[in-house]
Amino acid sequence: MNPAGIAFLSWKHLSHRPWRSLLLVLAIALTFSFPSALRVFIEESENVLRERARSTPLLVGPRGSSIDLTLNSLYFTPQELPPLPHSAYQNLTRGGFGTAIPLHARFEAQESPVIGTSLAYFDLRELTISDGRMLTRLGDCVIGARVAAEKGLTPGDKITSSPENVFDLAGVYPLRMRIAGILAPNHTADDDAIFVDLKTAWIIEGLAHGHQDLANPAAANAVRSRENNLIRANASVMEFNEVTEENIASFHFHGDAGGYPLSAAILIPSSDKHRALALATYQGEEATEQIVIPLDAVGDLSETLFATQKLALMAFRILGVSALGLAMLVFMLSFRLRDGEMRTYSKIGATRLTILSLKASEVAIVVVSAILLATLAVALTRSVAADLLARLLT
Amino acid sequence: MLRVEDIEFRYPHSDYRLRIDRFICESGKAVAIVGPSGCGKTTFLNLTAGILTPHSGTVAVNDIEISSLPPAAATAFRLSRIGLIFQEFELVEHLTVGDNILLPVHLGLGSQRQPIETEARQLATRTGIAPYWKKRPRHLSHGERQRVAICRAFSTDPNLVLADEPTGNLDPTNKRRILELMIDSAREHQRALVVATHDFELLDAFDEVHQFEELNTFREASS
Repeated sequence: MNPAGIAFLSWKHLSHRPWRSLLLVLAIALTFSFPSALRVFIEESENVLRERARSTPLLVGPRGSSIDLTLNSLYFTPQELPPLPHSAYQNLTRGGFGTAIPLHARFEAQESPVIGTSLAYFDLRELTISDGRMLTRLGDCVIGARVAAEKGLTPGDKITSSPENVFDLAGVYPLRMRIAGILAPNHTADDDAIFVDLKTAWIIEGLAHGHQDLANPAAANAVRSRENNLIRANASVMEFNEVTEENIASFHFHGDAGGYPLSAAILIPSSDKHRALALATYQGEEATEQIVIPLDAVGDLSETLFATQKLALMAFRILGVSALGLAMLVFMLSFRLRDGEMRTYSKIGATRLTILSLKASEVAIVVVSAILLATLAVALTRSVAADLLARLLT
Repeated sequence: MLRVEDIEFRYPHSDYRLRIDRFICESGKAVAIVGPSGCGKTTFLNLTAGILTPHSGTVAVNDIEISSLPPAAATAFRLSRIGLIFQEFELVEHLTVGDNILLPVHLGLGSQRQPIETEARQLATRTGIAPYWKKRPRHLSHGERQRVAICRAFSTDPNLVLADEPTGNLDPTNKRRILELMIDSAREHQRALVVATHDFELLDAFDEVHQFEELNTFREASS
């Protein structure tokens, strides 16, 4: 027997029908890799979720699902809960439990979440600027590394927030934001987000705005009436959709600041005692907000994921057995079609062992290629799991 | 030398019987076996090649009794010592002409690749198929395919070459050219050449000619 010759003949037949061979390799690779890739993805996802949750000591937010609150605050998933009033955040700050970081995660710009927060958030997440500079004024934003890479944005470019509803003419107006800097990648949801100062988020919300100075004679056409110091404008008054050095002074807020909305607040307790106090304060029946330990919420989520994984793996096993059965059938039919060829080999002088080796080697080439491909797919899944999770959640 | 003595054979579930009392083809000689289609020439060649095993009797090539060798040994012997040219060429469609000729190398004679390939390339040049070395058989005419089959049979430097209608699909000029090439090669390398044919125009080129009906004594006895 000539093993090199056997391998050569098998390879020649496989390469003679490349699509059939490729399909077999892909089908078997998928069968092998999918359950492992799923397991790896879920394991990695749990690690990534736990790591981010661990770096977020406590969350204070509106009452409702603790998992929704955690995912919205950690991964900026669309907000499912009612807003947290700014007054609640002020109370939290006044409570003296530790450092409170506001989060406003409601809007998007070019499909990336716009997160209103304070500079303390960047310290918490150890986010650094890789290009440009940090937020310096109203209307500035810093963008995540992946947002910059995918949209080709650099410091100095502008990005416009997306209105929630294109038909909502009287509602949220788009704000053109100046990109002050690009964040260094940290392979979390932060890479996919656009960060603004909380007040900038409120401008997008329509709670603050800037318009031309009605006292200026140039704005005479926009004045509907003047009574003493009160000037009423008509609809033609020009509102600014971008904060500039020239118009920044004209931006002002309306209404009760205590009612301004937030999504949640991250609380970094000063000590274990303050942590316990905060937990006690918000865990009472009468509390209008809830306090969540993100690690616990992620633990609950992991249990759900684990149960889903078990179900999915069971389904994949059934599908896998079917796919392998089909692959075997393809091989058997192929060998049956090649009976004449095998008879020729036998007549020329191939022993039964050689014929058997020829068939086995063809199956082996396909299976080994599939295993290599599956291993590669699992390794790839492991390496992209964190980014993929962030992308799936946002 | 091919020596066949007292062999008997019958297919299961068939009335066909074959009995050869004695058949000899000396080394360096070319023997033709003639007879009508279906008379059993191919069965006889398969028995002498060891593809079929006689129920009794002896088939020996260069004094090695292949009829009494274990199946694997008989097969290995055939690969290295017997060249076969089949009636239907039996070329492998997904292999190139070169790989078809070198099939014995791929199937077990890997250690002899160098001399076999050298011989195969020379034969391909002499039979005019060298330009098609890297082409697949489907691009070849019947005659060219047959020449590929002939090259495959001769490239391993066999002691015995068994050919089943090797010139059946060739034009008259090529028929004689190819047959003379086979016979010259057999004489030059002291190979025994047995050709089953019904091409009477070429019989003068052979050292011996046998009517198959005369060889098969069973049929004679029954008739």
